[in-house]
Amino acid sequence: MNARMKLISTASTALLLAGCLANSDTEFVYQTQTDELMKEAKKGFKQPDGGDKVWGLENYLLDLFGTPNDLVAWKRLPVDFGAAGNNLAQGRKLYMEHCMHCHGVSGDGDGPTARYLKPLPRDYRKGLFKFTSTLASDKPNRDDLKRTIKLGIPGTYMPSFMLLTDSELHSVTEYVRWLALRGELELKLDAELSDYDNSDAVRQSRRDDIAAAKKALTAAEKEAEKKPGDPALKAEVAAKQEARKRAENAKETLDKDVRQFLLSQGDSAEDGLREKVDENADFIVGRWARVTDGQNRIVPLAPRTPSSPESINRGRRLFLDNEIKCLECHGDTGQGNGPQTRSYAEGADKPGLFDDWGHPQKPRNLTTGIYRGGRRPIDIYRRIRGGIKGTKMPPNIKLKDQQVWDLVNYVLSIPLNEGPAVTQNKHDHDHDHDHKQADASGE
Amino acid sequence: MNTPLSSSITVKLGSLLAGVTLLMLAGCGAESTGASYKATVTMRDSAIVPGGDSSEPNGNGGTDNGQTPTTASGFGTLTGLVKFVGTVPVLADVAPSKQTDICKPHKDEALIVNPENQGVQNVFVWIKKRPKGAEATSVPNAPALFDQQFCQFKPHAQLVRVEQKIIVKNSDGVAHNTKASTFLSTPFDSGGLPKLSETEFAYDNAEKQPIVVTCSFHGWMKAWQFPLKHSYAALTGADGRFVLGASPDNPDGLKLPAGNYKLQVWHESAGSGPPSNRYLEKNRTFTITANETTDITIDYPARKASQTN
Repeated sequence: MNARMKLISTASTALLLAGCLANSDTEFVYQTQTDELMKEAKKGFKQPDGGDKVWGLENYLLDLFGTPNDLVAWKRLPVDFGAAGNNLAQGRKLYMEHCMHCHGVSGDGDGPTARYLKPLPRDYRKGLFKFTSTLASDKPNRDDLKRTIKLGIPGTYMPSFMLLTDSELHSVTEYVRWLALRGELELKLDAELSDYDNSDAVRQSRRDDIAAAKKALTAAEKEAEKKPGDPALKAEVAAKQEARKRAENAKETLDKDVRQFLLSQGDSAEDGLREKVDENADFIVGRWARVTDGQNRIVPLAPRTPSSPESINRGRRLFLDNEIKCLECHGDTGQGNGPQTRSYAEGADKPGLFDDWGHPQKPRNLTTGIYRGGRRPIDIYRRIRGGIKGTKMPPNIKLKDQQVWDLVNYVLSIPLNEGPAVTQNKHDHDHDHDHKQADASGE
Repeated sequence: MNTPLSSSITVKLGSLLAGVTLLMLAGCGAESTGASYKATVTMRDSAIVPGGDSSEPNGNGGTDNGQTPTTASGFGTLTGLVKFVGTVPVLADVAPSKQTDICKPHKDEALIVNPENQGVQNVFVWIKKRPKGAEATSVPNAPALFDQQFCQFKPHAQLVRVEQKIIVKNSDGVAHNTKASTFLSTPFDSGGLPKLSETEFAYDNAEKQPIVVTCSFHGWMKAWQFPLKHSYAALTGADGRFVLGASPDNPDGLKLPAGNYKLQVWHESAGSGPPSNRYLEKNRTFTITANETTDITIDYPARKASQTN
């Protein structure tokens, strides 16, 4: 008994230790658009005459960003890497400790914990962050991200990391920005390589094209047989033969095209993938660098109108105004049950609104008094003026500052209202809807 | 008490405890790639592509370098017709679901086929780059006008140059919110655009194919815009015909050096889903001969006309 127990415990320990010694390299994952590309576009190809391997999208990303354990600090990026990349390494360490389990190793919002969370953690890879102080078309600045990390997001699972030191907060923010930049470059290169899509739908459509071309050729040949020597019919047959050749060669044309593009040769001379990496990197860097020094922030020109019954009343009128359209989404009582939540977006099979990450999005229920982006009046001002990036909350630059402050005062008063803030009978609306209860347990 | 039974239990418990401790220690060892792992950082100027030196950042912001035609003697132009083949599907009118006092039902512009010659309107045709030796046209000074009235965008399809000013007008009796969903350029969102007002923007980068412009308040509103860095493109008119590079100042179109080219042909109803899926034809070859006008006919088979947009 004794010896057997010893044998079992030794054997199992050995097995476990063996597992540890094997190097489990974590990897960044690629986005769906990348996965659906042709193999050459993704992974490059080996030249037949034995030259060096020609790079594809994944090779560039690997070279310019590295893996989670072997990072690459690409100097062109507007990231504070620190001396010899120390800042990035520290940021990565903190990220893996505190953030990775929700936000994922690649910043894809799909970490091990994410499946239990609603709303989902942010996927950084589109470079879109919701609660910012910058203009609608601009990236967040460092302060916006630091604020989110420091204070957390009330109403969601994003906790506050107030206990991080300044240096730690700075380095983890830089790592998050670095992950976002990587994701954005990947998406831009996906767009540049969109000709080389190899998803099932695309391959099926190529097969359909070949079948249709063959059919059309047979039909044209039959017609020509009936009247031999007719030049018009002969031309038809020639044209249909051309079309069939084109359809059958479509895949080979693309194969040749993608190789030329990756080699920066032929029609693509000076404009191949390598140049596109540089060009798109410059573009992305430009957009992020535009806000690093506090530019393009939303700063009210008029000082805050203090809250008062008159201001709240004016705000309420604006909120209910059919031309400003707050109630379209937020509903006339601000419960987030406006008519847009029941209408179908283009191409959607479910009613309601969807955010830029493709997830269903409920307009904010303003009666709860929970404001994810911050509850200071300036925060609400920024949501109204700048919209919320990545969501259907649009910006509004046409309202005057005083009007926005009135709206802010009204919004802040909604949770304190004793009754519904509606001025007309629900049944007077000119659209049809059934009177379902607002789903207050949603996002 | 040291009975035989208790001593064997002690031994078993002892071995079990030892085993569990070893298991836990083994678990600690597995943190070699977790949080405490010290990642290495390599500083890099730019990609070191094998077989070549590390390239300097291109820096020219993607200016139009032109492509080399396969032969270069003399110039010609390209004209053509996009012809619908088969039974033309009849599209139901677009029926606005709100603000119906101003937003009236109207014809669906997703597929407009001319009954006389089966020509398809609003098909985008273009070559990817300005050919070397072909004229480099500058960005027009005149702004492009993009309007909306009765909850419909006008025009439904528009070709613009990168950096060309676009005036987004709301000539309607209701407020709109105009959004352009871009891939390679900065996205545009007009924000709440009150009735009878306007705003402006310009695309800062070219796109690979046309992109969609929508209104957040009126989900049925859709238009397509295509910003390019050159003008060697065209949009078919009501007769389905196009002249490559034509403009109000230059109805004969732009001249291309003689040679072989590839034309991209795109229409919103030639597929569904993202714009990259809606090509009618990719890399349609055509040849330009000196001092001649090449005329091609592009078939638009009925099976390609997608109804689910």
